[in-house]
Amino acid sequence: MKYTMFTLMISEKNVDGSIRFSTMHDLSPMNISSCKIETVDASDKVEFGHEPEIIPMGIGSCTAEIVGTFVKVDGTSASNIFKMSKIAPEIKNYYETIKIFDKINGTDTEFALKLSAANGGGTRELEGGIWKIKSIKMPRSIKDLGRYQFTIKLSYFWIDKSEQMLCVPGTGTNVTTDCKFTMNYTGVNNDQDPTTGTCGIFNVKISKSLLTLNNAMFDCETKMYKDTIIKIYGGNNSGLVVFYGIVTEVETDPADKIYRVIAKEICDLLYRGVIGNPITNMVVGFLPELRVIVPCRQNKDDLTIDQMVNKIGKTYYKPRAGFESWNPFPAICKAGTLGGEPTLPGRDEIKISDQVLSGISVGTALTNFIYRHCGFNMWYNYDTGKLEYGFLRDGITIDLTKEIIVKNDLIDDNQEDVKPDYVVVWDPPCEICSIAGGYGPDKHGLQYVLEDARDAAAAQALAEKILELCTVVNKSTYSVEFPAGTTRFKEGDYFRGLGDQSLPLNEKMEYRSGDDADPLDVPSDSVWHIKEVTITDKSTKVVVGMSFYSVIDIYKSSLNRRRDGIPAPTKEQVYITTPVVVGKGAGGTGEVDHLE
Amino acid sequence: MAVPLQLREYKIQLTMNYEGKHGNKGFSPSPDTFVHDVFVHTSGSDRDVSDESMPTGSIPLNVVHGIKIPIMNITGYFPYSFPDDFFDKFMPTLAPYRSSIGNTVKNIFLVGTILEVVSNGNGLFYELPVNTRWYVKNYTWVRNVSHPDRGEFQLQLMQWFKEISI
Repeated sequence: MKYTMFTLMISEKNVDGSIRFSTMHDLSPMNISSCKIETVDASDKVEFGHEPEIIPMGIGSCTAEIVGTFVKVDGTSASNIFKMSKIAPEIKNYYETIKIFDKINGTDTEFALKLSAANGGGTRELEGGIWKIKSIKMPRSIKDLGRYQFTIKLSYFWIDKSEQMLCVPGTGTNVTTDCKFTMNYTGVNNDQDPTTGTCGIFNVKISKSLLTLNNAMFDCETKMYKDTIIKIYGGNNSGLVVFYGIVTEVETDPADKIYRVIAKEICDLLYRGVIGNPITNMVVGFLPELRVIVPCRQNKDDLTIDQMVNKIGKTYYKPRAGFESWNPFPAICKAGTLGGEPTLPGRDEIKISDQVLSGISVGTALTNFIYRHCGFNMWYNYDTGKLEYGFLRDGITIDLTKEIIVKNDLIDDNQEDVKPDYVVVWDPPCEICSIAGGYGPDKHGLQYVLEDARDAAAAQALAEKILELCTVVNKSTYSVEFPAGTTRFKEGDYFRGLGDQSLPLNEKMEYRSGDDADPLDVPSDSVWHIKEVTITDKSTKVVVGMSFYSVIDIYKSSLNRRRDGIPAPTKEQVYITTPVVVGKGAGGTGEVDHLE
Repeated sequence: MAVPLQLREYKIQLTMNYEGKHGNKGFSPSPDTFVHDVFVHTSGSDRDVSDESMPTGSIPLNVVHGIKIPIMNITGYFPYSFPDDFFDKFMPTLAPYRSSIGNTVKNIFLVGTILEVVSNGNGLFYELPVNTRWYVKNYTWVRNVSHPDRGEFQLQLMQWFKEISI
């Protein structure tokens, strides 16, 4: 083994206060049996910005640990405690010669090692640097035959600061796992006492969705009654309304005097009655003469989507006594100018149709028209209570000091059962049949029926869009969990930057950023769109999918996948026969009529 | 089992700027032709994407703008005997690159630089796909009685994505 020789150094202060090390003397040679050097980055530092950005903050520390024994210059091991007079002077007097720390002339002094010019070729890992001594252990045991084996921990002395790449510490924050909520309540013609007030709530679960009415479940110590109107606040922004609703169920446990409350979104009031004639109040509208119909034309002009929505709402919604404070109308279109158009979004050739409202609530009528007919999403503003509709709600730029992905799972890749090579679109009579992609008996294909196909060109374009949707577009949905207190996310919102590359290879959540300028246009600028939000005391979970509004979303029920093939045209054949006269052969002409 | 691996190192040029909150925005990557030939013990790999990387007091480097990024721990060694081949043949190849900061074992892998996987043993080391880039978070060199003639290194790497710029 090649021996190692260090030079002992002592710290001195420069005029500017910085430290330098000057040589004292060489130590006795050593046999080093183990050397370990660890360099660690200055981790846990993140640069914030609109675009994702990591700033390497440089090296946090570089430490070394050496294990060995002292030897005499001739290489004889200092292995016997009884040969003290022959061992290295550092063993006899190491308190005097190898110091870690001292106070000299009232100044703190450190000691360091560097490989000596007389080094015998050992421990070359430490070449080129000065290593401050952090600790020395010199245990002696029977196991080591009484040898003094030392373990020295060293820390690299940074002469050139650019080598270390100093960073600015102090960024970062804790992730919260608990969130407090409060509630404002107002009793309306019920036994709520006092009529208005504020109280704390706990065991909170608030569920929001683009597909169903939002609801909240929670416990409180204040007695709640049905039909009390509530607003829930909490999270990182205490002034933010998280839920605006109305109490629908209350359970009481006499043992613990806790009230378990279920509340629905305030728009539940729209779903509680059946539309009737606004003049006669006749609600039995099933008879044709009493049927409630909102025509799509008025004074020879086509109604726009916005006009139709507000006509349904303003004409047929009559608030119950006491509930006048909530008025969701006029509704607000959040899809640019599309609300001012008389045609369906994405389908310029199709105008909105008459709306038959008989036997349903105003809420259902609005859902039928806005969601099912026009293809928009709809929601109610938590603060004002106004009805809003569109494709996307508000954009969210994540605040990394609070809103960090805690957990993420792929829910569904939403892929068809086969990845098609081609797509066929045809109309029910099969007069139009368009194919996109390369087809053949050895290819996979999907077929769709378009109920109101106008021409082959439109069907062809549709087939190409479906093929792209099935082969190119990532339609996956993910569940993303954020820390408790992340309460500002709303159903319909979208993230201006989100992704998770830490998932397994086949489940990676791609990073999507920016704004989706037109969800009806190309999917390439699709962003992560919030479909559902679940907020509890412990965490917030959102379900996100693509913001791109595909042809499947636009055409909804008029475009359906068929699995049973194209029906062949029907032919009927009628055979007319005449009686056979024995001895005269076949009777009559034997002619056949073909009726098609 | 050890798998041959080639890692190309990308140098990060340092332009110090002590103004402002974040003092070193001047980093910019520049491709370097230097390639490490290393062997990696497949049993020593550890792809860490667990909740361990979640913040406990500060935002971890692998969570950026809503992205969680894989952390990989690998153990390997260089195909050079220590110390003669190592210092006489291998280390001089680092010299032009490392001259300004010292030509030592400590600096074989520079913390704060990026490694690109050039080859991964024909896919045997599939956790490090070819062409992927990894930020060096932690580098440890160990040489002791169990492998006195070659030493071993341990690297903690953070995957580097094209969306994440420096």
